[in-house]
Amino acid sequence: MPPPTCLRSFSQLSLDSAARASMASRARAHAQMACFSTSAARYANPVSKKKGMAQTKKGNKTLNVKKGRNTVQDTGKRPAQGERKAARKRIVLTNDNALEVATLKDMTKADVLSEANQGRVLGIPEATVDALRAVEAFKTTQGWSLFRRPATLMRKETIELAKVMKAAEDDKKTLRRVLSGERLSGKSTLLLQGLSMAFVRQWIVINLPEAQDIINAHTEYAPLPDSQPTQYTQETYTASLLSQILKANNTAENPMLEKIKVTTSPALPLALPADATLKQLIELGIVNPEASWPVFVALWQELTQPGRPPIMLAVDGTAHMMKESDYLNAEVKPIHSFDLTIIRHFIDHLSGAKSLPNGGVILAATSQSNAPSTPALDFSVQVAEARQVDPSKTPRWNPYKNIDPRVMEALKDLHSPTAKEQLKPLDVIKVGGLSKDEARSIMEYYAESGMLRAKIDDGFVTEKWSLAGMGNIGELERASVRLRI
Amino acid sequence: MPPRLNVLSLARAIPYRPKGQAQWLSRPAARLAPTQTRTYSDAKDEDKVPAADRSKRIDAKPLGHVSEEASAMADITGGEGPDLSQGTPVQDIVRGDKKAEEKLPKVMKEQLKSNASSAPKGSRSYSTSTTPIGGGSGAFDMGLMSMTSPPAEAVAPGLKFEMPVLPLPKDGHLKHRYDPVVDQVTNLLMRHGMKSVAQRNMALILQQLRTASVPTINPQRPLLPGAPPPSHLPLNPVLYLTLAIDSVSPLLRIRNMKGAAGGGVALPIPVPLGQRQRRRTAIQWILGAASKRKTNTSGKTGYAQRVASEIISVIEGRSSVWDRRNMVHKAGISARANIVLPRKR
Amino acid sequence: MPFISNINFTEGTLVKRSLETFFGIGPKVSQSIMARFHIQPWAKVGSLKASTLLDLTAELSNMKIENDLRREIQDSIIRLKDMGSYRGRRHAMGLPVRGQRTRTQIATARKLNRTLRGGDGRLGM
Repeated sequence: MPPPTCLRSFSQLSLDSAARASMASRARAHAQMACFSTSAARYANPVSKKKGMAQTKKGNKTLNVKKGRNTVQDTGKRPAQGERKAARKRIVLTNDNALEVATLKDMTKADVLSEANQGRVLGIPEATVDALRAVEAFKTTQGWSLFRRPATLMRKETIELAKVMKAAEDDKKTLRRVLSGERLSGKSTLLLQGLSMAFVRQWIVINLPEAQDIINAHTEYAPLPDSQPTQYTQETYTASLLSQILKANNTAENPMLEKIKVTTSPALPLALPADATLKQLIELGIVNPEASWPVFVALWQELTQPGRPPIMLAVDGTAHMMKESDYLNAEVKPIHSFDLTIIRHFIDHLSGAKSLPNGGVILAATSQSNAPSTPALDFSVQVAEARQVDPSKTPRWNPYKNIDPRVMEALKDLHSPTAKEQLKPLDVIKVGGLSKDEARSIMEYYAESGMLRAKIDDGFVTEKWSLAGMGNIGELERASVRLRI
Repeated sequence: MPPRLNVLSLARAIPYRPKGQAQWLSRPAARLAPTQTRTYSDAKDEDKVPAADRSKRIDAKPLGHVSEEASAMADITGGEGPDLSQGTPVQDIVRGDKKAEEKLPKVMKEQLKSNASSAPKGSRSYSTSTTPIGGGSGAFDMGLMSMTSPPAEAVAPGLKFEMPVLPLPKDGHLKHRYDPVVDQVTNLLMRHGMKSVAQRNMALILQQLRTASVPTINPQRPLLPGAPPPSHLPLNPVLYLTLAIDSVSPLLRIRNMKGAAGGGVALPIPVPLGQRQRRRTAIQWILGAASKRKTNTSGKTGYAQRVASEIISVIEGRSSVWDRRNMVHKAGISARANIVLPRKR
Repeated sequence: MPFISNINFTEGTLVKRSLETFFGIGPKVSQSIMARFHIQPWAKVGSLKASTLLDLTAELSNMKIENDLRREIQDSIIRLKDMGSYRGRRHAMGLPVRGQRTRTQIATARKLNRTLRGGDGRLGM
């Protein structure tokens, strides 16, 4: 128990010189009552090591009490199966902290395809967002999770695509477009814009989210009986595709598939109830995967009857399906992607072998970051792009490159077109960089959402535009929003 | 005696427009005087130099070459003349003189010809660009050329270049272009010199802070005084991070002086920390606590998510880092008698 | 628990791995079997249909695997030995057969080169 004088000096202890001087004088005044004296410790005998413990000499093993203290204890608890994958692939589309942009208008059926939208940022309506989620149009690498709600910039290429869609809808034409461009230029987002415009205009939308998932031999396959040459169906993939089609096209606001009745009488392995709707037909295919391909064929026949809405067929990562797949046939030889029924269906429509009686658009987006080498596709796209710039100067093919003849045959309208009309049936939309005005428009949207804290003036826009390599939208987003220094 | 001319009534009109009051020089009268008469003549001079001798007259003196004339003209008009200490290039001397130009060496003649033509040699009419705007289908938009050139400002006299526009931009200096806290955290995240990985993780942490829900402050763990309300934090992730670090950073560290307490026992001495040291300690504690957290996700974003969760828990007062800081402060308080301040001389 | 050739396999195991547990089936043979029955490389045994399992069992019963194969190998070695050939003697002595050096590096030969080569066999096959 310290003496009372000690307590008093304890409370008055301070570090400035005046107080210290007074303290010193006070200490002198009080007789030797050193509160924090080290005399006792100094005069005590040296502390001897405990007799029981071993003397620590080199070579002696001693107890290490600190071992394992700093590591994380593995309790053995693991997340449930599939939880980690779900967390990795989760799509987040809202950020509650982002500001609500009051001036943001949604896409409406009346004006989504108009040319007046150029340079504006339009929000995607909620019903369409649900439909896009159902067809897996959003990707985790995109920046949707930073803003209040999904919105896209209607750039020059979007207006071009809108014109194509308008022509397809009005004149009941089948127009096919390949979306190309450099890395991060916005090809997948342009595809998403095409899908959302189709949903808003109430078309039937069928999307193959990743061509890689079809050909990488991760799903079941089986030969299609009575097909010459042998084609192969993929039951589980077709069943999941049917469920996506149902969920996206049969929303609560617009239950299209419930209203349409089955008019053709398809030959299905399972009996369909009389007077069935398309919804019931699709559900039959979902529940019984072994019947999924005949159901898909029947569904397609139904949708191509006169009087049905136009169809949008889309695929991302086209290069994967322009080569041999990873499946093997009975002779242990690789199966070409064009022999898989789903891909053959798509390619028939892309190449022009089949067309859509009610009109529609076929979109094939390429990817620069995830693409195997496909000289045939690269060459066709290159030729089509060059023709847009100067029709007289198109590159010649390299005879030393091993080009897939089937792919060249399928894309012959792209590299050697014969059609002379303004809107070619098969053409490429090259997605380039943004113009300064478009860049300004999207950066104003970022700033109004609170994600970009800067004054948007000419100098700032030009700086970010230049840093983005003359307006590459992915790089622009990284430079302005992603804080990726 | 030759008649003196009235300076005010000049026969010859001098074709120049003065720029401004500042450009007026102090000796226009002498220059404006016509050269035909000797207005400075004196009886004394006349005795020394005979009237027939015209060698001293201005019009008898040889004309200076191009540069001298140009500098004289510049003096008159008030512009900046050529540097007389440097030699005049040959092309300037023979400019306009066709016969002399023909006698020039071939290289110079070619140069003159190319200067006469509009486009400089070796230039193209189009620009190579990384991303053609409009997909290359339209004309190339040379966005770099559409910038309006800044208006020419009058440089103040005595200055060679323009005055800087204050305040200077925060990211103007190459080595101090990032926010100091962000820069420090990035460097402390870096392992094996992989700075870009650290920057990526930093961007992910800030993104997490932006999208996380608004934190609730624990009154037991007060943050830095003057902190903004918690609803402001997610939209300003750098401020969020800075607030967390500065609130939980210890003000001092305990230095153990070996054997000073007597009997082999070390004497604890509290030592104050500077701002960067405080932040470093706080960041190290936060990163250490984050690495001990459990992660339920897989992929590259795991560590960044854990660090972001740790920062949020610091602001909310749930983190174990607060206890560490309080322990250090307590130890410092109990050891405050051992502070040895240098004696003021 | 699915049965292939009377052997029980867990549902979560890969078909490829399960096939390769049979003596006489390696990566190439398993690939050709799976291609013939249109089973994708990463299929699990639990995802196969009953008909496919029966087909696989039938295929395996037609192939020479397990005890049949072991017997054949042992018979060949015994034949060599009974003939009195060099190769037979080397098998009997447990030394390298194919002309390798014997000064060093004979551990594998000592372990594997015996008259009763190929292990004891699997129960139930």
